[in-house]
Amino acid sequence: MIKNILLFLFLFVSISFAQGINYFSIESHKKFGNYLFESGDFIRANQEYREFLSKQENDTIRIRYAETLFRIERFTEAADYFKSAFYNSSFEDEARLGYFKSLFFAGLYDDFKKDLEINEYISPLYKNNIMKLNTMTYYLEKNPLPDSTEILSYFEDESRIKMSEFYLRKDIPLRKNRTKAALFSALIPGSGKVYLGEYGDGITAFIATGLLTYLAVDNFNANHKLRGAVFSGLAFLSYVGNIYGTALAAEKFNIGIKVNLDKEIRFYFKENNYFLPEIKY
Amino acid sequence: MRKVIFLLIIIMASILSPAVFAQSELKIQKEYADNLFNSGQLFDAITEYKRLQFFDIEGQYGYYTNIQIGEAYKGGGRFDDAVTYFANAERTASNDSLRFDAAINVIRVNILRRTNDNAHQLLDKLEKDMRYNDRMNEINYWRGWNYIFEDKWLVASIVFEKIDKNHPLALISKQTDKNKYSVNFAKVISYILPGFGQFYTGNYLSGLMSIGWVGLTGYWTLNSFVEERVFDGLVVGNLLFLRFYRGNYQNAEQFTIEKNIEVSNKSLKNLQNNYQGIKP
Repeated sequence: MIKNILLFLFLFVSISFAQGINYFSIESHKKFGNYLFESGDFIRANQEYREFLSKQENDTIRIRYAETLFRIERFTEAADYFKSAFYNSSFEDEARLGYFKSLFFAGLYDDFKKDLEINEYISPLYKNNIMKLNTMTYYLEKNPLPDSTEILSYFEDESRIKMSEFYLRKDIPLRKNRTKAALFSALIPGSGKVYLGEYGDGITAFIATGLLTYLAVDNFNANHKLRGAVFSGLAFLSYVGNIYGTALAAEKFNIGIKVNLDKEIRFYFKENNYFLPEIKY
Repeated sequence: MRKVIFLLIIIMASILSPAVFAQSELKIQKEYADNLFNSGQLFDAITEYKRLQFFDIEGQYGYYTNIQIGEAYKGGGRFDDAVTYFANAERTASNDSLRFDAAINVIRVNILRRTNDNAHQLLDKLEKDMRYNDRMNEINYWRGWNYIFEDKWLVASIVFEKIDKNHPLALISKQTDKNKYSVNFAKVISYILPGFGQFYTGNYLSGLMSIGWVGLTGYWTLNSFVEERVFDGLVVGNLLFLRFYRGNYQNAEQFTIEKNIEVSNKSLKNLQNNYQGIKP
């Protein structure tokens, strides 16, 4: 009898230990996934969590899985998973914020605004962050900006000042008129460039066109017809090229205003982590 | 008596079984990861080595997994991650020899990602370390490679010669250095004879254009002075003659640099495809 009990004990201990070190069990996927998540290897954490979720449901793992999708920039899938944790989850608020941030980073601004109208989608805890994201969509879109009073109301102090500055620069950009710049250069070579603020280029164009014209006249006077013709051609090219160059520079200037502002805005948002809170799941 | 022995066996089995099972599971996991690594499935290999590392509580495979993960990341071109894991391997090495090997792996990745100054600093550190006096050849070998990747073929050949006068890499480096064009010679010859710097690098059309432009604008400049149209001469001389003269030697310099890049790339390609020794 004792022998049998002991034998049973031996078998039980052996089997239980053998099962305890299965690296591909549900629990192991979870543990290993958490380790990968903590160490920032989101792509592998995602794989482990997927394995886990295929066999078992868990609020934390679901939200972490959505977060890994977000971190590996699979934003639309992340949005779907965050949405699936909107109800009956311990992370309902985080899921709502995660959903909106996923739509934001996916560039689905229309969906973002549409879902913002559904009150129950907005987490009271993170409402401010979601509304800030909403404001940022206006800054990143090509459409005209809405009234500033409401969209800026979610920002405080320094960030509000900066956002107001961006608002003004986006709403009323300091553009230069292309035709006006070209006409200036036609009247006085280089003056169009000066109008665009390119003083060095303007002065150089003025001197180059002037000198080439002088050389053409001087060579014709000295009876060097070939050289006179060459310098006349060069003077003409310089004159026409300067007018054309001024028109292009004006266009470049206007594009530059838009592109630089866009870069500045994006850099500011990134620098401030899109005003998103650090959440530990 | 038999009962006591039986009881002892049971107790021993209970104590040892987890360790034995853990060992065999770890070994199976290692083999699984190795198979993935050897079949070139680097992404999955990294996952499985990381899994092995995570469940290997005693750190038995710590060094090995760090090295393998580093190699896999390196194979996938993720050099920064590779350095992180090789550096981890250096920390987890159980003896000086393994530590040296891990350090060399860090250096090799630095050579590949062209952070050559880092590689030199790490090599200097190893060179100064008395424990590795017997591995000076390896240090010189990787220093030579570092110089190759810095495009310093002559220095590389000198370093390889420290290992062996007739080291194949010393010969290749020396030959590559010989095949390269002298930037200074191209510039000086262009100062004296415009267009000849371009001829030196085999760009004959460009050389002829330089001779033509510098000659024509030079003539116009001189002619203006001869005809006492001094302002004319100064303007043509400054705006045209000097522009073409300067363009001539700058062009020669540029062509030489481009040709030298071609020579270096050819040698590097040759090393990549035909050299049988260890490469970074």
